[in-house]
Amino acid sequence: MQHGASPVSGTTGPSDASSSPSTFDSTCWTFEVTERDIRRFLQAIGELTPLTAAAAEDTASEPPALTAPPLFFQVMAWQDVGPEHLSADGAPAEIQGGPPQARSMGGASDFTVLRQVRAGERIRVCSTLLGVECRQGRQGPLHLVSRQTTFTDAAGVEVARELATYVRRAA
Amino acid sequence: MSAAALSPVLTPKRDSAQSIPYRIDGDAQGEWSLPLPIVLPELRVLPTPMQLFMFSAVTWNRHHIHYSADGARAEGHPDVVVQRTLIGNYFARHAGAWLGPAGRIGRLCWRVTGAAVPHQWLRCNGVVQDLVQDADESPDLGGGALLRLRYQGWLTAEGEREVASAEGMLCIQSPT
Repeated sequence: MQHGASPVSGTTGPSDASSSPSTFDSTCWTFEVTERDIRRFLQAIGELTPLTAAAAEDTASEPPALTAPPLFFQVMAWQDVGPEHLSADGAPAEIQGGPPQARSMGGASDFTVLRQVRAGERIRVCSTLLGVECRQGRQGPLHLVSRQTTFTDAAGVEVARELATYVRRAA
Repeated sequence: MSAAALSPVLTPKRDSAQSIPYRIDGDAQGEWSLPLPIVLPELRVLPTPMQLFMFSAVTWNRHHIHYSADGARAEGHPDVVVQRTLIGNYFARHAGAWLGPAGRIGRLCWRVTGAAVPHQWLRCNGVVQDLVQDADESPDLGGGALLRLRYQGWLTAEGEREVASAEGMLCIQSPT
């Protein structure tokens, strides 16, 4: 089974005409959920209980597909673009915004999880830049980059969405 | 403590207990009790550079402040910093450990307010506050008949320094 995100397969939203791999204003792609990715994600977040349970079920003739933890959608949220599309600090292309050479800091997420996905599913991911707002911070201007990402299953049913705000500050 | 002991237990309403009205399929109704608010057991985590690396790899996050100490220091951090996205998973683990198989996380919002670095213990604490009754703040989370509980969490580093705070909505299947 193919691992991870497939190449950019289309764009959507009001900026379709101008979207390109370097703008990332509004882009969609498809992600195939694999058991390997789920296992790696579980290890990365330090959640080992499902892995222990899965190991016990491995002896069954047909163990059920491994269920991903609720925030597994984070694995799908950034595209597999090459480093040439990233800024010098390597920050994900989807969070670019604000002044050139800006630094990324902290931020916030609002995740709605309608259901957890399982290995073997194909998820359509659509990521849209909602806007960049400039505010005055204690150490200078801050740029708040808002991005919405939706996750839809093969039946076209939304399974999760995220509204994320990234903080960018001039270097 | 076992996972079962941490999971929410709904019992038939007693006069002295806080009641939770529930509705199943818009027809059957009843009252059960859950002693709210509930202080959840603390989750302690000790991030390591390897864990940050694994998380950056699996999420394909190449921001250098998460794997290059030099890059992190150049941006004013004392060391590589724990990802905002990984911090969200600490809250998810915290609430999920209490929920157990009886429920799931329907919504989780978190805000990072300070840097967390490897080799420093983080303490995740939180409270299940109350029942979400306002339809306006309770989006359609699917799954049929559910109780929706409001979760508030906070993550602190040594010295009680706040690293992040969270709010969420936990969904539990109504008793039948």
